[in-house]
Amino acid sequence: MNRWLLVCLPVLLLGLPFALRPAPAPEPERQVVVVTPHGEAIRTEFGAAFAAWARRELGHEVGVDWRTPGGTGDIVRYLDDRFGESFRAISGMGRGEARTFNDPKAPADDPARRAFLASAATVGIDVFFGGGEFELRNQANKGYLVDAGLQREHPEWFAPGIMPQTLSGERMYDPDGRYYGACISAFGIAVHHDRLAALDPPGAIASWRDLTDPRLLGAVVIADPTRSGAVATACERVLQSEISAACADPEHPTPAELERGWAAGWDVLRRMVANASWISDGASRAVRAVARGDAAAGMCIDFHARAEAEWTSIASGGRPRLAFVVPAAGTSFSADPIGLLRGAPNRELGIAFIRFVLSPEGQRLWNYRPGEPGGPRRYAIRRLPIRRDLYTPEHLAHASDPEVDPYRDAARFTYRAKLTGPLFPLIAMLTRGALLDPREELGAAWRAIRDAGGPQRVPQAAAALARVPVAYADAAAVLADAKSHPLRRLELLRGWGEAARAQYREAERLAREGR
Amino acid sequence: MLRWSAYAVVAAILAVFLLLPVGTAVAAGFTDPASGGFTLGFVREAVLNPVYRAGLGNALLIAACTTLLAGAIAMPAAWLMARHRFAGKGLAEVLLLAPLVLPPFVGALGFEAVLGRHGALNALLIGLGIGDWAHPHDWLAGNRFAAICIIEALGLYPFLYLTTAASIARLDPALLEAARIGGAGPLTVLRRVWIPLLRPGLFAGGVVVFVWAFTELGTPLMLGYDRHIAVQVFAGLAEAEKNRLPFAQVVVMLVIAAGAYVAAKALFARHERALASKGAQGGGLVQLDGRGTALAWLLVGGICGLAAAPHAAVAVLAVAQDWYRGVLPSGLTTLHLSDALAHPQVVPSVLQSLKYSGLATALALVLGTYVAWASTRWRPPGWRALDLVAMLPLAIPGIILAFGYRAMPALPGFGWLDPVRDPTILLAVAYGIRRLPYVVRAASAGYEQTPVALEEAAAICGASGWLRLRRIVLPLLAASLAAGAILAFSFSMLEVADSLILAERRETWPITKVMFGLTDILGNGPAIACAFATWAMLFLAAAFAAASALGRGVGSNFKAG
Repeated sequence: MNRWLLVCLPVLLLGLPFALRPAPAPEPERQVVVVTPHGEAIRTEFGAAFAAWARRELGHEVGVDWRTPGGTGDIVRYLDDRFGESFRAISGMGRGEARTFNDPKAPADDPARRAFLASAATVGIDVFFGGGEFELRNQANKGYLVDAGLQREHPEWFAPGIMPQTLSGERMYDPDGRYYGACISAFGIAVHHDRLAALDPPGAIASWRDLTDPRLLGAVVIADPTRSGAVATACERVLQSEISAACADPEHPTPAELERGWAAGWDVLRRMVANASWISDGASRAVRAVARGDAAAGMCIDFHARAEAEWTSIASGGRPRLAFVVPAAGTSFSADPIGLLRGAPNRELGIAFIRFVLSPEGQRLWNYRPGEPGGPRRYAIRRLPIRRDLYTPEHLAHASDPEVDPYRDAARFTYRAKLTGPLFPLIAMLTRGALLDPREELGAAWRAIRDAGGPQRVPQAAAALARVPVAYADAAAVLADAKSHPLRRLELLRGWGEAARAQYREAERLAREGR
Repeated sequence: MLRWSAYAVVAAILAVFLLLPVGTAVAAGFTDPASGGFTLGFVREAVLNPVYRAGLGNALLIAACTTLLAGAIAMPAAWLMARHRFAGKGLAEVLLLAPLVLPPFVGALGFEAVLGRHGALNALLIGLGIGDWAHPHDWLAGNRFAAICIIEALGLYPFLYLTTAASIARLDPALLEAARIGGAGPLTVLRRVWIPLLRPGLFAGGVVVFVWAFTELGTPLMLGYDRHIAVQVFAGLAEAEKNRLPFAQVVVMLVIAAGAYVAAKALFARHERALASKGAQGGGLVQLDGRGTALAWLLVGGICGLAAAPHAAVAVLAVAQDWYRGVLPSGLTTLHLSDALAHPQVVPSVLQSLKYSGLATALALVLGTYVAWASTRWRPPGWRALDLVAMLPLAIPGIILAFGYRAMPALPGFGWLDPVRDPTILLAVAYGIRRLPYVVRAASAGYEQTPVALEEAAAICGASGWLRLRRIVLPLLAASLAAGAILAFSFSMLEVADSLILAERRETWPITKVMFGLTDILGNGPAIACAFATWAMLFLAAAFAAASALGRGVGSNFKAG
């Protein structure tokens, strides 16, 4: 081949992505700057629909400047960094002096805190879209989010019949208007149809406990909850579900009921991990393992499973290979919010964007099928709108998931933050230390128990397996201890792992001895 | 005066951007983040916790198995290529080096499609009547360790192949002849002549493969194998500010890598001098007949077929409509390719990678050419140390350097390097320093093969230093430098550890990080990643072909020096 032609080849290949790059849209007159962890489908659909809405309602061309520094954790680090920088520049304070500017626990008369809350510190971004209620509440408490005023502007949207303030015990919007739920998510189970059909006898999965079925040994996938907030939340829901089941009145539990429910919850989590063939490093990879059929079931967040189901359906010509199961009496529905950032450079446009997202027109994008009137143009987003007035027959006729109604299903479970909320970081740590780190020993013990005829046939082994890593009564103190120093946390993790390994080896020995 | 100033600048750059980051990473492993004081606590935890010990043990085992496997692939190929002549040998040489543009972590993407429960291998077996879809064999479950070793060995064997082939080519056939005349049998010749004389080549290639496999992050990460120290270090990155465990694990890795290097050198490289007396290079090649040529191509084809199999699966995934329970996809589509190349992150990442890799190549070229010149032409005091430091990145795991670079901005006076603001300088330096050895070796080879008499003659005729550089040195070195530069550029484009650790904000991500990011997108994310990876492999293959067209082959970089 001509030598210079060969030299030109890499240049030609290099030009390919540039040639295929979509033609840039006409430059809008104004732009709203939105930071988000949402994926491309949501950005594309909401960007285009908002532009059309603004053209009609505001009378001019408006675009969305999406900022995607990464996942929610990346965005939070970015905001901390940039707000700190902006505040120090505005206030003239040094790093040490301004240290408490974003500390919600700082005294009310703390100069840095007071100055920050009165300031127009800015990160050059108008809106924070997505990231989960827990994280947006944290950002609001730091003072990064401010009231967008929609409760005053549209009080009818915040009526219980449209957007209740709480659903299944979870907050749907901030009473001070600093963030509003934009859509609803639930934690549950992704199941692979062919794998379940191949079980002997074939089985359905309807609850968290079903994931502990010995028939699923080696067929479950779990993500590490210390690396996936969604899975950590799902683990918390499992514990809540068992605690609620153990209490005569979950609003007023007795200490004994709490201990019983806590132990039962850990037993469910332990057996799920014992059934796991693989621990993934992220929730989406776990769902993908189910979609491929490498796992029969796995914990997940609803829209991950629905997105994978959508894709397998498209690829296979209409036959989705997996489905999302809402665990019976085992999960709550939480809001994925949107909020206005302090010092928004395009404040009015930012509020307009939030207004659009909460309007019926914006809400239709979440679950309408692509191409339906008022629906998304290309992508089926398959998330659940937060507005209750979208769950009527006339809307559900256009929906991708018409059988799902969070307002109906929420009645089956109530999340009680006071029971496990303060222990949230400990749940992820304990899952890792006592279940994931010693998973080889746990799997061996579980296999020995199964081979011996099941937990009922070897009660001593089952009891040894089920020992609770940390009692509910001690959990808060243990968490405080773990938070005292990074080294202490590591020592605790190692200690839990060593104790659990010894416990699982004992359970395996007892099972082999038939006890 | 000018040459001494340049010497000082190059030494300072290597000290600041090579020795300092390693020192910084090591120091961070011994620092209490709360008090800033010295602590052994994190290193103790890295050693005491069975999970981290298992991570270390697995990484070492993977490195050892990968090196052995790579050796088993490379040695017959090296013997074939260095001792024989057969039809199509030129093409075979290029094909054997193809894995250099097929990064192992990309191959891992294809493995799941082939080896999954509902993958191509089971479809083939079930089609042949072996097994059924109710109970398909799970090839990956429990075999991720083996999968990593195989993928890495198939990706890394070219390093061992090149150095071993170079050693075999330099073997003096008279020694073998003398041994045979002396009555030694084939086994004795192998044990007493071949192996001792090949030791330096085996050591040079083996160390590169071992250290690379020991610290390789992309492949175990892509295959979801978390009991691996590089993956554990990467997982700890998010909280590295508060939790210094990842740095402590880096300290452990560095000690092990250095220990392995010293042990291997003691074991294999004792007879380095044997190579210094270059034997009858290229002499005594055996011409293969038709049957021999067929066997030679069977060997080359087998190796290349195996090496390319995971990447071929990636290319198939890039155009597959649906690949479930089939030996091949049920249909083909260009959707993923167009989605990938038109993806909003792709063009920016290509631009970023070109920027980082371009700057890195320029840096490596300038530094590498200078170091090569200083150690072959000038030889000032300390030139051996300079040459050794320039080769050090081959022995220091990439993830250790990356962690060192990440810790540098916290040092007084280095805040301007903060990768959160802009990682360009750090990434360019990281890529450039990592690839410096390739350019140093290429340039050294060029200098060694360029008669110094030409420069001396020009000097006698009154040519200035600049004129000699422009009219004699650079034209004669151009081919070597181009080969070294393209190697440095290509490997920079595929760099994983530095990219994942130093490029934090999405708009600064290079192509490797975008590939990892695309695999996380739900739906057809992995297919888009495969399509992008296919483009990247084609681009790099074209870059290698261009490098070959420019003159010297890539292999020559390893053969010299």
